[in-house]
Amino acid sequence: MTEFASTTLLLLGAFFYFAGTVGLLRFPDVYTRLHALAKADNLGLGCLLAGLALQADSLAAALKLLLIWPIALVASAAVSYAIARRADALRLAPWRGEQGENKP
Amino acid sequence: MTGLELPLALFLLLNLVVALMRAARGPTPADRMLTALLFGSTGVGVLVLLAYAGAAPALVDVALTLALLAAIAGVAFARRAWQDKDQENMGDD
Amino acid sequence: MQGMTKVGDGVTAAVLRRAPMFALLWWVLAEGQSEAWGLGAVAVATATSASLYLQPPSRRRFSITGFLGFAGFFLWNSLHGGAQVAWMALRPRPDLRPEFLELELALPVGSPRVLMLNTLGLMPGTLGVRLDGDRLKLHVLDKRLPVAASARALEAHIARLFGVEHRPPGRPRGGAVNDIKPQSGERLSPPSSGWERGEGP
Repeated sequence: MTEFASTTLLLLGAFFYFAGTVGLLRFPDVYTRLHALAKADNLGLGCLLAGLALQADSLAAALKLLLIWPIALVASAAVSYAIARRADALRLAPWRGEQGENKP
Repeated sequence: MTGLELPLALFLLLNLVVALMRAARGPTPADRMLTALLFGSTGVGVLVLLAYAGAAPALVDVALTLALLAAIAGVAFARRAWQDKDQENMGDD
Repeated sequence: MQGMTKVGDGVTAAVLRRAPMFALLWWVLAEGQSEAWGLGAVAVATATSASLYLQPPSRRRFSITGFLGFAGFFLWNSLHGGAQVAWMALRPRPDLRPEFLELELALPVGSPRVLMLNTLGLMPGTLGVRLDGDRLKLHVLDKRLPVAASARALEAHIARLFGVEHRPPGRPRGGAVNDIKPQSGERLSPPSSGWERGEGP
């Protein structure tokens, strides 16, 4: 039962990482790519950590895995804000559909 | 160990390489900064998977440290973005 | 700093609150190994004194229920946000309607705002771009989604977490959906000069 739950969570985690990468490849501008990475990859990491925590030998080891998640969240929240802020400072206009292409 | 960890770690590594190549290509400097984000999430994921795949529990500590460093770097990064050169009064600390 | 007795009491209470937290953290980091407690005691003492120096005890306290409420809200929304963006990335024909929106923050300056700005990036469809005084510029993935309502809900949770007042501007309480206004150049004047110019240098 635990094994099944763990496997499911691991596969789900890998799926979200994959979706994040696909978003990075397919989305049209830096802002939308940021959405894809910040949200999908973090959820992927969360699922992965939860799946591995189910396999941990002790409660402390499981909690240690889960502790990684909020730290990684702080990292990506701060980095994605910094990137968005930078893109805005560079006056990058957001993509607004085909007719509104901003490429020169 | 379910035997799934190593294949998944390789899968994430492939993801990371593809994403890094995409991000490094730009076209804007902001796009290239996405690489910093990728290491913080995918890099940590690969490390914890490897820790449980090959019974090298110390890699969990490496992952924790990497996440912590990414967080510190990220916050420093964001605080610099805060006081950007166009000198807005953000009204925050 | 201030009068010695007052500060002393606050410090004792803060030590009693914080030291067990750091001890718990050490226990987790050492994965429960009991032989590590010698070093652990030193680490806990150092961490506690460093925290007192960096974050002196103040009257503002986190509320536990506020924290649990925020954590639950956050967990649910990051699931939702991740699933949503995964669907947007994987569906055969991408259908994004990205837009800049502007939101008037109803939270006090300082940590509540910083937390708001940062958690918005992990919520479904929103990304904080710039904080300009009280006005927060957001990037949204799909302007048809009810982002304003969820941003207000997030604000309310953060306000409860910090025990501060939450007053959405314009109206006394809640329900603020229309105070978020689109920033699509043609319809409204841009917030700062020339940000609509397309790619910069």
